[in-house]
Amino acid sequence: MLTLDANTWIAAFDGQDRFHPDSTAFLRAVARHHLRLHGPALVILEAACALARRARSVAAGQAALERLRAHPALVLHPMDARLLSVAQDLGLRGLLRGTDALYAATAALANAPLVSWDDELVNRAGAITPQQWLTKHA
Amino acid sequence: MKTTISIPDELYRRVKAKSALLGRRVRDVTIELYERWLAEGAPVSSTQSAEQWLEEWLRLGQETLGESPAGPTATEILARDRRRLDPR
Repeated sequence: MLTLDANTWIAAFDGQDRFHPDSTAFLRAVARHHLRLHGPALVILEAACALARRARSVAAGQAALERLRAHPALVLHPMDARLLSVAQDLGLRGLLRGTDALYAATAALANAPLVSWDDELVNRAGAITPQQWLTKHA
Repeated sequence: MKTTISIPDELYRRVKAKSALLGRRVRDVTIELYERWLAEGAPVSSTQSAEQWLEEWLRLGQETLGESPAGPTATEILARDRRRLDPR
């Protein structure tokens, strides 16, 4: 099981992204390994908004949102009291941004390591990059 | 609505003890777990379906962003949004 940051999904979506090849290879390997994926409910919103802004198109964001929501192995964790409580604890102790704390809390509750291209999540929240995961597991 | 279910004694004792420790009602914990379980969606049916999903995701990306205007990529936009007030 893994917890995925929004940037992993959108880098695979955007062929011009510098992380596109590695994100695509990572998601292919994850599918091959039958892995269950996790994310805070926020992950879909973050991904869809960034893609809509990239394409400057509401329809593009909407299409991405619906497609991501339909992923057969993605578990979305509701932003309920439990998630917020763990996020509060991890965020305060790790000096994380609020959104980063939600990802860290999801990873902790799901017992599923966090995978991200975000340096701050790697440095402060124990995330690994898709490239690092591939090196170990592909 | 009200319903009656049978739960193993030892399991219920542990749930009750943990609920008390956290200052929560067993009823609230039960509802939360039901909602979480429903939100999980269908179990993974096969690797093929995840792989098919990915190919569709990649195809949608090409279609959607192939003609998109020049500018920062989506991950750059996301990173910028996350840190828009950080010192530059």
